[in-house]
Amino acid sequence: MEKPSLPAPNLSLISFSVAAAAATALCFLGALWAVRSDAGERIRRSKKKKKKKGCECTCSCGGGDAVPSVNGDMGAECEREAPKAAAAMAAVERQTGASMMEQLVPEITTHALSYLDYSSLCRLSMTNSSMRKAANDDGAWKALYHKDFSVEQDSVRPLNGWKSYYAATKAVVNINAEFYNIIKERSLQEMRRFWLRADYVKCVHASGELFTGYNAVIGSWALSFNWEPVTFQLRDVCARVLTDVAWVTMKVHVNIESGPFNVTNVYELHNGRWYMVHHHCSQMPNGGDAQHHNIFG
Amino acid sequence: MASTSNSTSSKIITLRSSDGEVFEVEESVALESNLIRRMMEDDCANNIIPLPNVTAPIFYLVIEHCKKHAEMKDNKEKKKELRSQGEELLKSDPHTYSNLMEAVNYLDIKSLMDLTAQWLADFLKGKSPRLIRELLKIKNDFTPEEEAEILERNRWAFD
Repeated sequence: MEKPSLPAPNLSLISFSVAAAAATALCFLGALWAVRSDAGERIRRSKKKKKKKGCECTCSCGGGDAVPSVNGDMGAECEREAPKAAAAMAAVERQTGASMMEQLVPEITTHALSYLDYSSLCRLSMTNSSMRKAANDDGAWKALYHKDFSVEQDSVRPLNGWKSYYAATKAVVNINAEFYNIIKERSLQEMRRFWLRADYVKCVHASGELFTGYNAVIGSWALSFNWEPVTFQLRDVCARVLTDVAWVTMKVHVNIESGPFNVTNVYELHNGRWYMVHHHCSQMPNGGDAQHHNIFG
Repeated sequence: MASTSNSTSSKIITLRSSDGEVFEVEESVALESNLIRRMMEDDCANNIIPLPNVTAPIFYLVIEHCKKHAEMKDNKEKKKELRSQGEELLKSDPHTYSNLMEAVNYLDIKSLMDLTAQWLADFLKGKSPRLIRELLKIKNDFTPEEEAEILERNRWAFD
C-alpha cells in the first residue's frame, strides 16, 4: 500500500545523478539501487512488525482500560487496573490458539470496531483480555461519544478515559430525559425525589420567575402541574459531566403554542445519584411559534 | 463503475494470487481496489499483477463481492441481501471472514472494508459475551472474579 510513495524520491535522485559526471553517476545509481531495495525491505519488515505488534500488544497491556462507573463516579477505577496487567499477561500466555478477532491487524480491528454501538463494544470487551483491550480503546470511545452525544468537547480530556466519560454522559442524559417524563406525568412525588433537598437549589421558569430553596421550587412545580398537559421534544442535548457536577443544555420544543425554549439543567451527584440543583428555562426570541406565553408561568 | 460499460469495460486485467492462480478481471471491477489502481498508474498494467497476500479462494470471494456491491448500488433488495450474508459467514466460517477482511484491507477496497465491518457490527448486536466467545472461538482468559468485576463495570451499558 505504501508503494506509490517510493518512486518520487527515486526520480529526484535519478535526475540528480544524470547531472553529475558519468563516473559519479554510476556510483549514484549503485547507491540508488541500494536505497531502493533497502526501502522495499524496510516496508516489508515494518508490515511484519506491525502484525507482530498487534499480537504482543494484546499480551503486554491487559490493564489500563478505561472502565466507567454508572453515575460518573470517576477516580476510583484507575489504580485498581494497574496490578492486573501482570495477571492478564500470564492469562494470555496460557492461551493456545488465538481467535480470528485477535489475529486481525490493528488497523482492521480499529476500522471494524468503529461500526459497533456502545453495548456491542461493551459485550466484546467482556469476552477476554485481548478483546477487552481492543474494545476499550480510548479513540473508539471518543469517536462514539461524538457520534452519539455531541461533536463538542473535542479538546476535553476525561480523567478516566472516554469510555468512562461516555458512561457518565449517558447516565446524565438519561436523568435529564427523566425530568421531562416527570413533567409529562405530572408526578409531584417524583419531582420531590428528583431535586436535591437544599436551600440553594434554584428554578427559573420560562415566565422569568425565580424560586429559591427546595420547598419554594417544589411548590412552583405543584402549581404548574395544574396546567394543561404538554409533550416535549428535546433537541441539541449537550451534557458536560465533571466528577460530581453535570450540566445539560438543550432546546425544548412543546406541543402548545409557546416555546421553543432554551433550557439549562444542573445536577449534583450525591451517594451515587444525580439530583437536580438548578433549572433555567427561557423562551427563544425568534423561535417557531413564539407569540404566546408559556405554560409554566 | 457500472456506468463505464460503454468504452473501457472490455479491458481485462490479469492478476495472480499468492498460490499461483491467474484471474482475469474486468478493469472496472479491478479498479475498485486502490492498490491495483495505484499499481496500474505506476506501470505494470500490461503484465500480470501479482497479489502476494491473497490466496485464490479469498480473491474469488473478493471479486464476487465487488461485483455484488456494484450491482446493489441502485437496488435496495440486493443491499439487504448482501448485508445479511455476513451473519452467515461469521457464524459458519469466521476464519474465512477474517481472511476476507485482511484481503480487502490489503487491496484497499473501501466499499468492502465498510461492508465487512458492518457485518461484524450486525453480527455482534445483542449477543451475550458468552455467545460471542463461542461463535468466534474467543478463549475466555478471565478468572471468575475478574469476570464478575468486568460485568459490574459494564453493567451501565445493559440497563
